[in-house]
Amino acid sequence: MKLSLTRRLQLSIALLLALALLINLQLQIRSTRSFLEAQLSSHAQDTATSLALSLSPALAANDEVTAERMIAAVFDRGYYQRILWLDVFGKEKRFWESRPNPVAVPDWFAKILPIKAPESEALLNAGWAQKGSLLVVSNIGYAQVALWQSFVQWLLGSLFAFIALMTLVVLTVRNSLAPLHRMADAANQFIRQKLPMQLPEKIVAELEPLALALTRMSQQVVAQFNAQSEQIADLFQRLHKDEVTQLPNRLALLSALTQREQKSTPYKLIAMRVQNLKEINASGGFLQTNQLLQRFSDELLTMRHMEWYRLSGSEWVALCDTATQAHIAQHAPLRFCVAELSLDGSETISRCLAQIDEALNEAANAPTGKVSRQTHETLSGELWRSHLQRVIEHESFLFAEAHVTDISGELRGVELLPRTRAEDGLLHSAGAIFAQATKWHLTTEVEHAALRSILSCPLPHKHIYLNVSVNSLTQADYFADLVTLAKSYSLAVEMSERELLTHVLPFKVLSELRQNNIGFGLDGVTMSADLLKLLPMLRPDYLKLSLSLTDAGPSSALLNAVVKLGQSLEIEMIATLPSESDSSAWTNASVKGLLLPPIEPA
Amino acid sequence: MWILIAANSVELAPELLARIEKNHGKEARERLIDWQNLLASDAQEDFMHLEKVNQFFNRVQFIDDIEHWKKTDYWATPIEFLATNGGDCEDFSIAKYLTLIALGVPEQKLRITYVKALNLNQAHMVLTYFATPDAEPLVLDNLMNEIRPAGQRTDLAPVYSFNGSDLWLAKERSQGQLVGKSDRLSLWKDVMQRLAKDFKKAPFLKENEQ
Repeated sequence: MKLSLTRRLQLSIALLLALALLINLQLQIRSTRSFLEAQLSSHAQDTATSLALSLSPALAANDEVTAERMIAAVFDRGYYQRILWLDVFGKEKRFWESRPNPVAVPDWFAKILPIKAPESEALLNAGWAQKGSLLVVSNIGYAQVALWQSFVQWLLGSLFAFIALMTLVVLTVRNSLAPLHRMADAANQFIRQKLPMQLPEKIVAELEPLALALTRMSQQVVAQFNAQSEQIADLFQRLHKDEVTQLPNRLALLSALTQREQKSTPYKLIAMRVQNLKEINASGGFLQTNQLLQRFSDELLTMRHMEWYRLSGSEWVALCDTATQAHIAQHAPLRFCVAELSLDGSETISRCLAQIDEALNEAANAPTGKVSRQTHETLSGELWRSHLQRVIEHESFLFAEAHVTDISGELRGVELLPRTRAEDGLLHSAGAIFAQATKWHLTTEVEHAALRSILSCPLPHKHIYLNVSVNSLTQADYFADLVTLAKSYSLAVEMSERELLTHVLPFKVLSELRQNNIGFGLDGVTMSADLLKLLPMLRPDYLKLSLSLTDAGPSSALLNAVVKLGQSLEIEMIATLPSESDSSAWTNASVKGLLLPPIEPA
Repeated sequence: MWILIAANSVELAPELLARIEKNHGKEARERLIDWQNLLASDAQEDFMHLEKVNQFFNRVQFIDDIEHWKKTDYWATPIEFLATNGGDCEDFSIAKYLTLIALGVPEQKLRITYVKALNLNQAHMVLTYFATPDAEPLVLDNLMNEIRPAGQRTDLAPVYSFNGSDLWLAKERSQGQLVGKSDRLSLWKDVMQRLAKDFKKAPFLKENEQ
């Protein structure tokens, strides 16, 4: 098991403290024992000398009975283990002994720390004559009890001291290492690129070089990122313009449509197809044709409230509000048909492009050369509201699965796209559901109901991608349910580029996602300038690139620049493939990223 | 406890003699040389040693501790006793006792006895010698040069007898000379080590542990 520096220091100090206290305990007990033994010796000698002096008159009178009684009286006080009365020749005359057995002292303690009872001798005289000697040994019982009590007190004291000191040690070590921990946190964040790297304000002298190194590394990464961002912005500019007319091209239209899709509000598309371009080219030549087209495009640009894009060689598309009325004047010799499409904001980009094509084909065959189409609302406003409230209450969601695979085709995860079933059995798409939810301010409730639906039925997949809004992420109960889901699956939440740029995502939320091992990504990424500014700070786990970046194919310089940027920031790139694209071209490409096949409804 | 190993090879340390001469004069040095020669005596019967030692030390002047050392109850070593040429009854007794031990007289035959000098009505101390444990002891005293049996010393009333080395050790301890040692053997080693510093050669300082 790896121990942190803090834990190692605390354990080392704890061991040293324990050792010091044990040694101290041992020294104290031995010292106490020595003292007690000296006391016993002194006590025995005093008694021997005093008793021998007292016995002199009795011995001088040859009264051994009185002498014996005097010794017995002293012995019976209980303070002596042994008293021996020896004659002049050293032979034992009388012997008194008691066995010390203090029950208050454990046997193991008495064995480890035995107390020696020194023997003290005093001469017995009767006048000038020697009458023998007295040997006195004090009773060690009292000393053993005193030693044991002393040991217990010292042991308890040492334990309390150890606990108190360890508490101090833990706090002191923690406080002392706090600067290091702060630096480690900042370094960790930098390595993992999970949160913006913020160096702590209080840095001790020893860590200043480290802080300096981290700052420089961080600055280098930012500088590298900025260089790449500039490159992308430059490429964006160059590759999103039509060479002939200088109008925004197909890629720019795809980007604009992505943002419209994320906005989920109704808008209008005015599509135009020049029907006689071939003849004009044949008669006037390409140069003349180009000049004509330039003049035509300049005229289109004068039309207010309309954003014009050159979709292809003969097709133009304008984006505008639903209220805008388009009056496109004839521009001889060009002959064109016009299709007007009113959309509710729930259509996917692919669907939009398909509808443009269909409408222009219809307009080309119409007698007036004009056609107008309107997306039919599947439900009226009030019915949508009722429908949404019903699905919220009953948590009755279905889910389509969009598979995310890597270049080898191995499944990496599944994006769950909510669907609801109308009363007539039709399935409402996620675009339609959330477009209406936004309209009726029910987005958070719908997202939470969808999440609870997922929680209530187990899924066969290991890795799940889930779309969320900023508002939902900041709701405590929604977040709690996310954490619950993350315990059962490898979970990543994602939001649209537009959602991120429109609402402020608190960094605290990002931090909590990381702490709960929940991934974070962005969907429908167009690499706008505003997003490029936020990327170094956000460091999402992945970006799902919109069609505007992948439509040009895997060899597109812009796409490669974007992928390179992702590699430098260690952000995975997931490419949304155009529906008519050749998957094998992407498989063989050198673009390192994950592939996302076209979404199919459940 | 003590055995005589080489009676002719006792020599006091030259530094000691030089110091004694410097502090107390030539006569003091000569007294110590005399003592050195006494210690180097050939092996003889105990009684002859008793006589020589008693005569030797009884030449020293009797001076009270308070007058001599400006202290009460100071027990001088034999060297201090001879160097300063003065001491009281304890100093006489101890000096005789230690010298006799050095000369090979068995320790268990010698006792330091507390007595009352009846004629002087004073506390007194003498050295007694027991030829056998139950024999009447002989008294070595600084009040008279003649060694007499205890029964003939009607001028002295015995109070109590001590083993000489025990008494000496007790005194060393009370004077703070012996600190931290608890057993008798260790204490005695300490004392002998300090005495040994004053001798260049002193075979009698080798212990014979029983």
